[in-house]
Amino acid sequence: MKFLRGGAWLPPTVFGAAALGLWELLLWATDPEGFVLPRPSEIAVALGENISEVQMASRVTGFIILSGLAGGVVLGVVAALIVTRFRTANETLTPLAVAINAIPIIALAPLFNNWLGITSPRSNQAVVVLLVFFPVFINTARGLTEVGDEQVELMQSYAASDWRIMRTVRIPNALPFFFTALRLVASLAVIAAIVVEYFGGRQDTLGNIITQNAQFTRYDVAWAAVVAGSIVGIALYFAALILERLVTGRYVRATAAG
Amino acid sequence: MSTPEPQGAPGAAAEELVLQIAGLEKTFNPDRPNAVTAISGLDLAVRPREFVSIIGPSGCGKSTLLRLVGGLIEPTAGELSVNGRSAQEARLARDYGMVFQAAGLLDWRSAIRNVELPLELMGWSKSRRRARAVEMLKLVDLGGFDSHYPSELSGGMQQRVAIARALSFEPALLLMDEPFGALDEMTREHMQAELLKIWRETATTVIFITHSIPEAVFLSTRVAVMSARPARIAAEIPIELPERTPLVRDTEEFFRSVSRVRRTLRSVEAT
Repeated sequence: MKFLRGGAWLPPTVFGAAALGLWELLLWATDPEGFVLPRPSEIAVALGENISEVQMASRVTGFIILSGLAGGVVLGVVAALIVTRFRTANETLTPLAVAINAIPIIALAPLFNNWLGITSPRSNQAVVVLLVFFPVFINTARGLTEVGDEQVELMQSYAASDWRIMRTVRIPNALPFFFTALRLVASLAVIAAIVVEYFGGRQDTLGNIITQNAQFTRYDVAWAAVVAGSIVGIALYFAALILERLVTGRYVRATAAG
Repeated sequence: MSTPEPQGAPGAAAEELVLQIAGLEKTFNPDRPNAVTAISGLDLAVRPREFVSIIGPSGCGKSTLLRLVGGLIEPTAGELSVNGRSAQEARLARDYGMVFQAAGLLDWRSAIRNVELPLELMGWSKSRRRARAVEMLKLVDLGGFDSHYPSELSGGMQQRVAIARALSFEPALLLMDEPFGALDEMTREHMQAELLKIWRETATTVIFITHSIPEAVFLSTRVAVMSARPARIAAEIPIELPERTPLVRDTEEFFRSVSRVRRTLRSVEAT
């Protein structure tokens, strides 16, 4: 796993550190008023001072993200399997999925809050599920159907059943498509969950920490919550990446070598 | 080596034929205004151990014929039997080994696991199918490439894996649809020689679609020339060559056969 070795880490780490250093230096030199943009060191201090609150909130928001992500991924994969297997389902479900995707889903958050209860995690989860569903569905369905004609005919010539063709040809073919979608929605889910929290609901969430502290000009604390959100997003992205390498590792390595 | 003669007398009984086709017709979209009759009144008989090439103008329905024989599509009318069974029954009994122009290997399976694929579907035990796949890869001169993935193999090597896969379960009939069409000339000639070697060693009956006249002449015991749409077999030319080695390409007999097939093809296209 190349991305876990030291070499691959070095350039982005150096670049990131340099960017933070420049940020710190510029603000220190120009000395603008603190509420415009806090310095990285100030954010770090705020994060340290509020660590227990931010940690709790990360756990609450993290649960929404993970459960919404899981729900959306499962729904998307199941829908993709169904439309690939049954043509009539394809003609019904695909336009429906496109229609759902056309709705500005995050804009529905206040409506979901009214509908499912403002303090219930279910309204937040619903938004994340809907947002995650579409990229997973479209990508997986594409991977399941974009299979060479000759591969399907070949399987038929061996008297393989449709389910067997699904298992042996379509699903392995769809894996890279699925994982591309998974990496995409891992970040999308974090954004969705935090933005939904801007619309109210529980107090102990990352979104709430950001809006509350921004309102009272405690920008350094708001930024600390943003940093926590980023850490969750990056962790999820790498979890998706590691899962992908574990599942398709041998094949990916062979392709890279060839 | 001498030319393997087609076995069985020309008027042999139906049971002795691997493939018997009479009055075959295939119309696509039969009830619609855009109906296309691809094949009409096609007759063909193939005896065991024969190597029959089917050649014809492009778009004449050669691949359609192969798919009809393979039971992948249903004929509109006519009779088609493979060892006395319908094409569907023969397909379900796994009588066919198919090779297409695209090798159609599964990218995520190593060469050996691609060869094992049909054996897996047939429920062979792991050790038995592994042993057979090793043997088949050796037969196509790919011993030592077992664990290579398709992306690590050249086009010609991929096609050889596809041939090994098609032959692994000893099908009654090997159906090949322009298998060397995407290969360069050198690789193509090499593959033709390999295929002949395999054909001799495995006692397989081959139906081979091509639009290369020299390829058809070099490989076949018989060349069947298809007419333009709606296609039928317009002429059958037995090929008699003194030997089947690459050197035969420079002999008088080879040129005579090539020009005979070419003249026939030209007269078919003119009508």
